[in-house]
Amino acid sequence: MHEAEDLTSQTFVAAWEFWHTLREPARAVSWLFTIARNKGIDHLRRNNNIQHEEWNEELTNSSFSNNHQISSETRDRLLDLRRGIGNLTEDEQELIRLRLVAELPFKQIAQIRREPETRVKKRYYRLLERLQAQLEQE
Amino acid sequence: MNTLSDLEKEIQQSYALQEPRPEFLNNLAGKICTVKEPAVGTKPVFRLSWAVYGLLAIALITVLAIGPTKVLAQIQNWLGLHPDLGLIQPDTQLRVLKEPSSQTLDGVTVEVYDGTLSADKSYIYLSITGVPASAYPPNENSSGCLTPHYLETKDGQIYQAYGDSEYEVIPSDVNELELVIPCIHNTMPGTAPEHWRIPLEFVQAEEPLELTPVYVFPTETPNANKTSIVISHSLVEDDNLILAGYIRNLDEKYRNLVGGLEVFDANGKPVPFIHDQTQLSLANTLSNRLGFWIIRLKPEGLTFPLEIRESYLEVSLPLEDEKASLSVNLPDEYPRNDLIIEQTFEIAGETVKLYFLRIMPSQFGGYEYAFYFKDHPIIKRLEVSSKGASRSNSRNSFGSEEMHGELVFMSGFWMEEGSLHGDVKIDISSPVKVLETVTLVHFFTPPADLLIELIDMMQ
Repeated sequence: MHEAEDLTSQTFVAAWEFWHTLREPARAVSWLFTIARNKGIDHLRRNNNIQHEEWNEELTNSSFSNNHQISSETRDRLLDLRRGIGNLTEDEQELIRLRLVAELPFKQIAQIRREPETRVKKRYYRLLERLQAQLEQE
Repeated sequence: MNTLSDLEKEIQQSYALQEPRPEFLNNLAGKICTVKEPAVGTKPVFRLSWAVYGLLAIALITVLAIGPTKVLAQIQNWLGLHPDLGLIQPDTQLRVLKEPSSQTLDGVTVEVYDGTLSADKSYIYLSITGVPASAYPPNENSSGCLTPHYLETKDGQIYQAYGDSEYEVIPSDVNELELVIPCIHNTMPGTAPEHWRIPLEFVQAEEPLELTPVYVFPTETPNANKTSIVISHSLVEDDNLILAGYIRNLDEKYRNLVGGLEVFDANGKPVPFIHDQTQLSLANTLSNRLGFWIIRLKPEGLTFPLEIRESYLEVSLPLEDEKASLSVNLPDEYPRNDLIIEQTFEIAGETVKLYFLRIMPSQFGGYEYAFYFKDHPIIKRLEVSSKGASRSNSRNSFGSEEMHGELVFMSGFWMEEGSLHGDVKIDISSPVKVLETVTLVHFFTPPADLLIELIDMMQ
């Protein structure tokens, strides 16, 4: 939580400082996410000895829903899902976050990741298939 | 966003984020207000000519030094990077989908939007949209149709899917197939259209292939048994030089302790770089290498050789016999702020300080307890536990980060039920100690043809 706030803060301060360098205002969202992404990568690199499995545990245990009414079955399924996501590479997790947490269209995700849109789509749907298959195995 | 599948909705639910804290927003607003008014400046102009001349001179010297035959041999080290197939020979014969193909039945659309066939791999990518949520199993105890897709030729030859998007190798003389989808994955019988047959046509990929040229360095050297930095691949993209490498013979126990990479030019000046996250095929190629990295740097004005340094801490395994304990007093009602503890204890012959404790309610019941220790030059990891804590949910961090003005590292546990109050005994165990810091150094000069590529890029 603390790190997330720090990185968010750094992102907005950097965006404010460098706003004048943004040549295409239509790309502001992608630009902001790109700054955030770079800040995140820098942070992970500085702390690159954080064990991935421990991040996964953190994912599992962190509060993941404000809805206290969810059934234990749903909770278990969501936990399985979070574990499955936690087992993806950081890059794959980012793709899921950009698409489903930030709710960005594929075009903007492609701009942020500097990848062709078709490749982004392709990877995204492959990831969903993999997650679905994992859930079914469990 | 378009209509989301059930799985996507579940992922969103699992990620549901907390609202930002008002204190955080106020703090951020304050920070932005104190940043000086951004000045509109001009981009620094790079003096290209000097860099080009410099690189040309190095290229010429390199060619003369290693001889034309070796240069030619090095040119043969170029491979092409394909987004699906990874590194391939540039003259590889590929076939691609002539055009996307889609069908819509009862509101459900299957679109095959991409496909690549090579002599040893076949990839076909599709998206499925419009499946009603009611088509999927009502609960986790039942599952829908799991019959895999396959490809079929007109004469009935079948090529099975390998999972994901990969299929059996399609012979080079087969260009027309049908993708057969017996049922939409995991839907219940009769709830979604079935028996899809989507015609696909493949054509020879236009040449030259759209491949990113990658220079593959020979990695077998006389010192192959030594722990050392290896540069394995390099490519030029936009105005960046991308270098990929890893540490050879890095014992797995060091994996999480590799220090940050540093790059210096021939004058000892630090070279700025970023860790590239876009070269996915290259990353896949290197994924079995411990601590691999792919960096992106600006080659303008660089003086070679580059000095690449990476340090790692040689650490002990967790010292299971080393234990300590301390008592902390936890209030009946947990505050929103961190509890400053500032207690020292001895473990494995070292004095460590527990700085503060963060207690957060868990949505799964009970609480999460995160213990933050002040950074220590020798002790890099600890386990914490307490009566009733679920060890399987403990979490620890290597390294350190700045919190409350101090460098700290963290270890914690989760109590699924109940909470801790009053004088609580905290058991601390399994310290991991630093034995030695090792710095590896590698000098890198681009081979001649990579330099020529760089020069082309800068002109």
